[in-house]
Amino acid sequence: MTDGKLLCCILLFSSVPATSQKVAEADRLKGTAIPKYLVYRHFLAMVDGFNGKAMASPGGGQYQFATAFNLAGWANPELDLMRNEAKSLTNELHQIDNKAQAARENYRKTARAQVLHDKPLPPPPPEIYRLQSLRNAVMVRHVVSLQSKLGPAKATRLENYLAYAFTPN
Amino acid sequence: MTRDGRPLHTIEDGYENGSVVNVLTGKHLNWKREAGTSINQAVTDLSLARGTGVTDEQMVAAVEKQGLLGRFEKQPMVNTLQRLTKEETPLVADAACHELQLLGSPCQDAPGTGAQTRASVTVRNLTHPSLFPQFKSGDRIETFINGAPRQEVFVSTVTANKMGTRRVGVTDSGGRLALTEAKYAAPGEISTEVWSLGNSEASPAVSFSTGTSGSGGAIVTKPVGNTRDKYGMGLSAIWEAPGRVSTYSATEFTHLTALQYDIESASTLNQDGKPIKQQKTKGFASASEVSEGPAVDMNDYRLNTDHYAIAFWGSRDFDNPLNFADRACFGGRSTCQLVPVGGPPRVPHAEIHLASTTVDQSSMPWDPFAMFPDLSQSDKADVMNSVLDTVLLRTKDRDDEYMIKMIRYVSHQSSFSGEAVVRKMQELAEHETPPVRAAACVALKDLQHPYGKSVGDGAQKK
Repeated sequence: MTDGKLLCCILLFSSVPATSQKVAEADRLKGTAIPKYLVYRHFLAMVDGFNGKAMASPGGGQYQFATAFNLAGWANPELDLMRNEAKSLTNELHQIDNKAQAARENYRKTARAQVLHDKPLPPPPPEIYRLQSLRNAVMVRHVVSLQSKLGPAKATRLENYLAYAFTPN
Repeated sequence: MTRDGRPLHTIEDGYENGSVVNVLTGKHLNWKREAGTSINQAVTDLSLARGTGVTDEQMVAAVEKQGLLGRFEKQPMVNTLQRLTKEETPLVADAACHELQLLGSPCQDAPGTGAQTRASVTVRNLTHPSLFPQFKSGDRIETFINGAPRQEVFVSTVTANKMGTRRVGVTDSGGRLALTEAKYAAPGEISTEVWSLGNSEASPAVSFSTGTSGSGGAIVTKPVGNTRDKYGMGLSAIWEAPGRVSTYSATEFTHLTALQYDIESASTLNQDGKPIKQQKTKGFASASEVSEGPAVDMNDYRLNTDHYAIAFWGSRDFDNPLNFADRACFGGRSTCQLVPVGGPPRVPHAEIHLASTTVDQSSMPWDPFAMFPDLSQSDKADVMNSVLDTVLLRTKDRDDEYMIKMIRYVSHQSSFSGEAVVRKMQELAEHETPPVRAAACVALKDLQHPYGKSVGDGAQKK
């Protein structure tokens, strides 16, 4: 199961000076540097994805979506919270991404003419940065919302679960 | 080193984990090792010294990539980065400062250096200053922005019903802007703000939450604006539940990246080394896929996802405005973050392979007795001992992460119970590595075994 990992380790340690291994700690830090709001964003996207699949399948139970992560022993009210948060996050991101996609089409239309005449690409429209900030605000808001609804103990339990089971690295 | 008609290269070029370190900061024709510096320090200095004609963006990318790959000793890297925060341009100093934070070293904010240009947000509740971070709707909040001078400042605000961005002013010559206003949030609601200076996000994001009765609210901050959030990421995840294996894979670009590139990701699920499912997804800002299927007991499952950026501009060859290169998405095994570095301005094919992310999981039997329905109690105990000794046996291929996952699995399954589990957890709690010992102790505590209560706390503290 871990042949690939082992091979990587053998390659790494056989070709790198021993002193370089001292930065393994730093490397590990970097490996886990993925921002938390993005971890939650993907966790909730996964919840929404499995929920959509469960609802579409004949005989799919109300909590079938949680099969993948029921080992953590979440109760139904908590699963409801996660599902509602996931659905709402997906919808809000969809709204923002639609606007960004429209901005991208406009940009590409203008830029195509530049490229055809061997001119450099125009700078990104400022609107793109504003939409990205909104997108990040939406994601952070759902993290705060889920954490506050779960309460401190369960929120910590979810964080531990995500660290072990969702982004182990 | 060989020459094959192209620039001189080494046999290890292209191997991210090879021993050869590419210098990404241009040519250093007059560079000399400082007298008295160690060879490790000299190599680190050279790798991040600005060469001829190298732009700020190339320097930032080099700082982010060289730190990320972790080929250098920590202390020389810290020394070099601290020097960059004092001697380099604000943009490069800012990137160096961020790397120092990741290395757990302080960023020395010398006056006038770029280290101070990372935009930051601080808030004070003027209505109840002594009760911070408590918050009630209508409280007057002072927001203090600190970053680059004379930059337009925007705030993006999201509530349950509204979202929008407004321009609130311009930073002064010292890079500061202070704003005081009453903040409102309906009972049980949360309002989140992300502040930006020009096109850079300031950290942290600030949320104002109120309790359902209007009291019990708080101001909550979450870090954003990490330089590595700027371009995108890839992720693979896998879970095994009794008889089922589930996967999630995603490639996500920021809107800035999505402006110039499309997303494509291709994932393959392997069962005991053989591919059983392949999926390709495309998207604009995000391409993700969930899948579920039956799992065979004791089989190994591995999900591998290839993440691609599809260059948009061109016909015979393609513009690569963000200079992405093959394997430009760096990070751990299961997640990666995009760093635009080292790629040529034009690429021969539209597809740029950013990274592969991989996760694996073994399928454990749901009920170890299902195959032996007529067992006596003592035989059942033997079977349980045997199964536990197999699934929790430390081999050279099983790392701490695997052992901890298995411990958590076993301790949460009702079909694994009784003295056999306690015996196995005690054995692991005594003879394993500290992280595995701690996990075994947590399992013993969950099983409400006195050994876990007495030993678990100590092991976890360790």
